[in-house]
Amino acid sequence: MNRIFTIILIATAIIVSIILLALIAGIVLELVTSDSTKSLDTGEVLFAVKLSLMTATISSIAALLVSIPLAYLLSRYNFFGKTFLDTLLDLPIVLSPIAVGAMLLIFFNTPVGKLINNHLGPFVFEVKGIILAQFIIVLGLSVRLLKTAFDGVDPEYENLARTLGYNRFQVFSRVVIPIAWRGVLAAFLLVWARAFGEFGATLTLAGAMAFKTETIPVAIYLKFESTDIYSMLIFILILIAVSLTTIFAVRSVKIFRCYGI
Amino acid sequence: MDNPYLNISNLRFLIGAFQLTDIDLSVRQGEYHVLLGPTGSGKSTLMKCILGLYKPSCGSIILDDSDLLPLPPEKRDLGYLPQNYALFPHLSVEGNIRFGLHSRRLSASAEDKEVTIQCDAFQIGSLRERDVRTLSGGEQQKVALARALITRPKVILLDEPFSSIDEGSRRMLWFDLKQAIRRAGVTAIHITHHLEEAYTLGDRLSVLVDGRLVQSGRKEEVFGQPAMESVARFLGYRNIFYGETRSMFGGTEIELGDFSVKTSKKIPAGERVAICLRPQYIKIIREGDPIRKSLERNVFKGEVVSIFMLPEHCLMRFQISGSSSPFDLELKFPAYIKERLSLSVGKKITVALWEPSIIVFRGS
Repeated sequence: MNRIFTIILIATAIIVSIILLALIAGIVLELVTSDSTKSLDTGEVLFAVKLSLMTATISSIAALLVSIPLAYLLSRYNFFGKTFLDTLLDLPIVLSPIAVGAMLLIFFNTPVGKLINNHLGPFVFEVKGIILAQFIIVLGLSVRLLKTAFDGVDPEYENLARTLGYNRFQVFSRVVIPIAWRGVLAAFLLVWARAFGEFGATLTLAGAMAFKTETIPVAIYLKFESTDIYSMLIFILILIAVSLTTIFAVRSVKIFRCYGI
Repeated sequence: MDNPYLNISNLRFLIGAFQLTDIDLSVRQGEYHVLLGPTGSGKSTLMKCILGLYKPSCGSIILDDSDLLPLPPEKRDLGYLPQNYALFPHLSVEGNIRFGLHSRRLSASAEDKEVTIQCDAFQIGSLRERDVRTLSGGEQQKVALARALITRPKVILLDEPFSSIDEGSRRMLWFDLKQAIRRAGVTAIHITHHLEEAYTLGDRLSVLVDGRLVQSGRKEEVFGQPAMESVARFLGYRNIFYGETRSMFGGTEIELGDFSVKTSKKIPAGERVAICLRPQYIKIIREGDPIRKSLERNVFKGEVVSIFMLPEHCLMRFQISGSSSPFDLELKFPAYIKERLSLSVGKKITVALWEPSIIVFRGS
């Protein structure tokens, strides 16, 4: 029975690995054999890469800045409405990104939304819309990851620092953040990767306009629509490379922890 | 107590289903006070109330004539040594010690001097650059203590400081710890559930049971004369019995079912009481030996039921003749007595209770 159980575990791992590798291999094979007579517009590729890097970086930094206090609040304090807030933050994680984008679009049609759009916008069909869509999509994930990082810091460190003359903010900045920095960095990388690959909410709020709101996922969609398979494959490979690099970076942060670095 | 340095009165605190109730505790300046109690009795909770990490619902905490309750933890002038020492993993040994100087606002050179003084005092100068995660339990304790004392607190609170140190090293570290606290001249409150540790270190003890501070006093008083049955049980007293009093000439007889115990204490007849007979004060009478006056009122014949050999002493269970219980009394005596009296299971012997050691808890 033990032997069968071990075989099931190993076989599952092998099958899943084969499926995922087959998907990547399929892209590479298709790229090699596809019709490359349509020349790749490098300017468009560069635009999409730059726009994706810029929007993902801004939205994930913004999400991190908002999530840090929220995650610390949820990690350390019990208060009325905590469960409600916790549930609300899970909404962007479980909700379809298209629905989130539609909700944002509808919001900007309300009086408050119009006011925000007039003073801070425009957001609809603009780059600001991409950043906002990515921000809303990654916010819940960011809070979850950071809360896990803060949960890993023993509150006794904070108690002790208080007795050594530090107020709550000083304890947070001089004890909690330095101890949890690997978790915060890993959270930022994962959130950034999620924002980089965001499509549904971006498409609904900012639209899919070449050389305007064309992030890499939007470029994949546009190339798919225009049956420019070669360019689409290039964009997909860029996305895979960025995602794998980010995941490797997150793993490295965790490995450093094992070595006490 | 005359003019206590730290005075806690009528303190109450509710956390979940647990409550600290009407805590009154006084500690003198320079005293090493041990707060003793079983796990879950509320020792750490009380300590966190003193530190300001929990806010009591009522009562007062006065330290050196100032009320601590309105003050946040960082303004209370209290040192803290947590159970796991909580050395900051992102800082070196020196970084941890220096971390405490924040509140004193010293110049860089004055800070260096203070750190060196603490490192010299605890003989940890050679560890200054070390990663705290590579230190032994004893070294961690010294660093944590240096970090707490560098702030020059009025009182240091030590939360089970030996819980993460192996049994063999503990005893030696007890003396080192007390010496360091004495040298710093700071008042200490040490919490533990370890009886030997409490007796060795404490000048005075307080016993906390189920969220109530049930006894406070000199360690000899607390260990020698527990105020109530719950304290006696926690202090490891065996031979606790319940019975009813009967009047007799020159004292009281307490009927315990299978046997009765006589005491010179005058207790009204018909009262329900609990009595405690300390195992080390039940004497084995050798055949033909005269029985001392303090033993003669309570002499029992019976049989050895079992003997347990422990590293430093023997525990023996004894059944009184005619008793229906598997055993009635537990005796404790030095290991050599077993050989000297040729004690073995089944041997018929005579034992006697030393009357001054009989503790009666009324109203049980």
